[in-house]
Amino acid sequence: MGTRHITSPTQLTLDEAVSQLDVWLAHGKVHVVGTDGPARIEVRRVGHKGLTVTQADGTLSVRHDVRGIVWSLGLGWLGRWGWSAEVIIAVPPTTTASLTVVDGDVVASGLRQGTTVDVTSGSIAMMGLGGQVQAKTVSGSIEAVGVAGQLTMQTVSGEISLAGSSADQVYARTISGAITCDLDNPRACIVHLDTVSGSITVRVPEDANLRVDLAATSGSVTSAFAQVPAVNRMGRHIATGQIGAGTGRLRASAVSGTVALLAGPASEYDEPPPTNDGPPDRAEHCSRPNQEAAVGPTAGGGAT
Amino acid sequence: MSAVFSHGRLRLYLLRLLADGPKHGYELIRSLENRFHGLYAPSAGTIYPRLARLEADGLVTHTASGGRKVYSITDAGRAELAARADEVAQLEAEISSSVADLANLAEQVEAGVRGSVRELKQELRAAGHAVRQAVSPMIVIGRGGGEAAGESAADPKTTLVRKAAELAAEVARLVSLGRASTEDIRVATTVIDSVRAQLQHILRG
Repeated sequence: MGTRHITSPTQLTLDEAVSQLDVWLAHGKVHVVGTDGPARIEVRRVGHKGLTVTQADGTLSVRHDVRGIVWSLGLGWLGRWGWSAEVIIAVPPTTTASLTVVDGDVVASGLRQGTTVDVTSGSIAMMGLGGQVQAKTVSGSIEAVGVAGQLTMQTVSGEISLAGSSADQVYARTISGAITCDLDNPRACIVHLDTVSGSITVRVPEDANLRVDLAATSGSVTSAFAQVPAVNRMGRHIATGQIGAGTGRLRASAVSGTVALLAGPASEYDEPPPTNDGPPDRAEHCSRPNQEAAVGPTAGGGAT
Repeated sequence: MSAVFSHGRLRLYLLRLLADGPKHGYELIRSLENRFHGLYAPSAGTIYPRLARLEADGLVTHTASGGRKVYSITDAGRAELAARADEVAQLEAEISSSVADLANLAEQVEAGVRGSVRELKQELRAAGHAVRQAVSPMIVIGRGGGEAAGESAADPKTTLVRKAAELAAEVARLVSLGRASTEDIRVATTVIDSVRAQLQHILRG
């Protein structure tokens, strides 16, 4: 379809296939949904500077064309100058997405291939994503539900919350915001949570298989697992130990914040979820530690 | 997305999925995920209690094959599904339209994320309080104190968890004194292992 300049609310259905989505908004909100069927764009609101939609070679791009303007004058001015939009985009779940909003919010769901979200000031919400997922905001919260694959989340002053995760890798880092993380299945291989002054709360199933390292320099550390006792060593609060076979790794550290490790109900999968229908890198990534897991205790945080 | 499944409709939909053929729990989760294009992926903690309930009500049954439970619908389950055919059709229609209407879908997703995260935070905050209560003696011991009583421990569950935490702290403290020989430590480890095995046996019910 080439290039279109959109200046009023509109709905577009694209007939060409889309495998890559690039969004760049100065101000506003973008909502991306991975769903079957043709790619669709619903522009719900757009400022007088319009929005440029381009489709070429499988790449769909939705952008504010702000080249040449000095937008470091202040984020709030972007919206007032007409560079503002609210857009909902549906693309196939296999689309790789790169979503940038300078001042505003991003919601992404159902994208299984890989998603990069970059926000300067605003929140990020993610649901049912897979593959490599990277979410970064300077000032704003990051919320993720049911994300698989490799997940990296960073914010300076917002909170990070991860619910019902089946991710193989979770890296979360904040400076001042709290990190809340619930790992509800045994697939998570590497979990690394890091904050300076925020607090970390992480819950893992009681039959998890993790080597655990928790540390807080001046804050407290609490652990619901007897295998991971909290102690005070040389003025530093730490808790190290092994839950189950210890095939995965959980590290959480805070400088002045607190770290709390909680025990969730045992994962109720009757068997390990089949790895052959996940992303191919998952099986490879987990295979090394899992070789030993096969002979480890079966359930209930068994002794080593 | 989960708004579609308010008021026990997930239970009905699980029955509907089992009517297509026996499935194990993880297959049911995958079926739901596919139906919603990955937007709704219920956790095992959501699915299994409902399956257990359906089974208690005689609507599904399970067979263990190769160490995993395969659930299948019973005649009573089929009768229930037939009796509620209108409701099932309505639910199917709502699921289809919820996936087709972009703006609605967007709202559902956002509300779903917000709701799940809010619930999680509340749940973990409560659990965190319980653990802090339970393990507070551990922290006190870490600082050189040793008071364990004090807080009202009327709830037997809390008392048990607290005592378990106290045990761990006590063991850590005794070991750190360095008076026990390697043999003593081995014996103590065996004792702990046997206690743990017994506790697992009792507490799993």
